[in-house]
Order: sequence, then C-alpha cells, then structure tokens
Amino acid sequence: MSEFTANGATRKPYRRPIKRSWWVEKAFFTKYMVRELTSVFVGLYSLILLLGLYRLTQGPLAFGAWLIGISSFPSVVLHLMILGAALFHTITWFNIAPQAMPLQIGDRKVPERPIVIGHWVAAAVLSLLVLVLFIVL
Amino acid sequence: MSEQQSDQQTIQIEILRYRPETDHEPVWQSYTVPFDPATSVLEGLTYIKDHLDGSVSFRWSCRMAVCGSCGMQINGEPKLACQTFLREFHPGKVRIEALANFAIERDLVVVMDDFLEKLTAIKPYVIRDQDKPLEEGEYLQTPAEQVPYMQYSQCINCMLCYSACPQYALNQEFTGPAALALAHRYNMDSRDQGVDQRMEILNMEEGVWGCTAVGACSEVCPKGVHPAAAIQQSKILGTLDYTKMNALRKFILPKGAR
Repeated sequence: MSEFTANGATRKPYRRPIKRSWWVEKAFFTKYMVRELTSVFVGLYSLILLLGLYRLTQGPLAFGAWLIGISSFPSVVLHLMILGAALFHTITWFNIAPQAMPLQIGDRKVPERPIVIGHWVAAAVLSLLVLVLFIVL
Repeated sequence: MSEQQSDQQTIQIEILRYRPETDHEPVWQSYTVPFDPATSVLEGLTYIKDHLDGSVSFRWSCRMAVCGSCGMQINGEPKLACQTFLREFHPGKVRIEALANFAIERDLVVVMDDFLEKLTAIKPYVIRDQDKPLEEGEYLQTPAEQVPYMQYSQCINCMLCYSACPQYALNQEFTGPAALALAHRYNMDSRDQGVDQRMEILNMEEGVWGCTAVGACSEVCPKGVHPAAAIQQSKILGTLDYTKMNALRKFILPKGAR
C-alpha cells in the first residue's frame, strides 16, 4: 500500500474496532455460536460415557452405581439437553450437506432437497438399527 | 429521478463520513433525498453527490450488479448499493457506511489491497503441467465438465463476503471466502492441473482451516457463489493431501485434473 495519494496527500486509513458483542448483535451469528456451543454438550456426553467405561473396569458394583447415577432426574434432564444440542447440530449439518457434498448426474446438479432427505432417512435407519440391536442383545 | 415532481417522497440517508485530512475518526452525516419506488441506494448517493454534497466519496460503475464496486454496509448489512432500493427502508432512515472489516480510505471507499493480494496468491488461472503448443488448439470442455465450477466462477469480487465473515473480522490473515472460492473454482476445472500448487495456500491455518463454516459469506453473496460450500469441499481436498491419500481425490476432482 502506497503511503501517498495521487495529489501527494498522506493516506490515513481508519480501521473500525470490532465489538466484543459482535455475535450477540445479529441473530445469524448468535445461531452460529449456539451451534458451536453444541460441541460442549457432545463433549460432556463422551466424558459421561468414558466415566461409565472406567467404572465398568472397577467391577459390577462400581458400574451399578454409575447406572443408578445416570438414571437420576438431573442426569435425565442433562441427557435431554444433550439430545437437543445434538439434534440442533445435526439439522444445521444436514442442511449444508448438499453444498459440502454436491452430486452431479450427467450435466445436471442433483437438487438439494433429496440429498437432505436422504441424510435424514439414513440417520433414522441407523438409529433404529442401533435401538433394535440394543433391545435384542 | 426528475426534479420537477414536487409530490415526491423523501428519505433520510445517513453516511459515515471519514475525511483523512480533517477527521480523527468517522462521523455520521445526514442528508434528505427524494426517491421513488425505483430509486436505488446508489442513485440516492449519486443524488447527494450531484445536488447536496460533492465531497462524498464512494465507488461505483455498472449500476447493475455486475462490476462489484458499490458494496457497502446498508443498515448494518453488506449489500450492493445498486441492488438495494430506498423504498425498502421508508419511512425509516438508511444508514450507510463503508464495507465492514476493511480499513476506510475515505467515506465509503475501503482499502482493498489485502483482498487483491489474497486473490492473486491463490493462482486464479488454469495451470498446466505442460502447456500444449498453440497449433494443437484450445483445451476442450463438455457442458457436464462445466457444472462443478460454474457456480464459483460467478464471483464479481465485490467483497461483501469478507465484510460478512467474522473469522476475517477477527483475523485478517485468513485468506477469506472469495479467494478460497476462486481457488476451488480452478481446482474443479477439468482443464486445470494446479491443485497441488494451490494446496500450499489452501491447506494452511490461514487457508481453508481458518473457516468455521459460519456461512455468512454465502448469505450475503449477490451472485449465489456460496463460498462456504467451496471452502468445505476444499477442506476435504486438504485433508486428503495432509493424510497423503491424494489417490482418493479422483472422487472429488474432475477427470482432467487427476
């Protein structure tokens, strides 16, 4: 960047400060931050599962205590919150899937809707499969 | 806009003025401008410059959303002034300031050196391992081979995406939406073989990994380029490159580009 303009005047570009509250002022950015926050809930869930695994190595008594712990009312509320967060993240993720993974047949792009619906169908089928396996075993 | 009509409606336009010779920081200045349903914000600015205050500076050229010169913050949203109409804001007022996330050179004119450097850095042209001799003719392409990149080639360099991007706002080193989308445009071109050269820039922290998929760039793009999509696809290419699984690129890149 040159220091001087055509007529010899000194340039003095002004940089506007970024407000710390930038993500609160626009709903679009707040939604983005909420989406990013869902990772905390997913992380928390993995920690709870890891703890369960650790308690399992300590014997049936310890694992039983963990099972009672996660069946408690506060734990159920927490798990519902985690489910909500994971669902919200899934919705945002599936919605951009057609753009992140565009499909083309011949010289035409596959429309977005069938790709999004395909993701939901796949998620539903897999969830059902896991549920059935859980009940059968 | 004819001046004979006395029954014409007026609207208040506020402009964030910055005159580097005299101003220490930008200040708001208000103007009252006549308008009709077909008056664009750009025409409102032109009215101010022609009739009220000749010192107001702003960039413009084509008046039809092709040149990409008149991008500015209109009531807080990055928009092309030629494509936004004063009627949308009446009876409220219109607040106009220079594109966000760029330094103000003067009034509504921003310093765009950083953007231009980033645009050239990603090598936005067809790269061949070996150029074929002229007498062999042009590199041919089928309509189907145009589909993967056509969307990304619609960019008019208006920089609205940069002013929408919070990652660019927080870190000016980030290569940013338009430049990354343009890199992807050439990577997806069946005539191009330059993906490895571009990967050096794309696969850096300041490249595609500076993006957290906020998606604001795609929201504001006046040409439907969808830079966020291009960047997410580039992340896949970057991951394959980093994990030395470039053989799998063939599922993403067009045939000609390996």
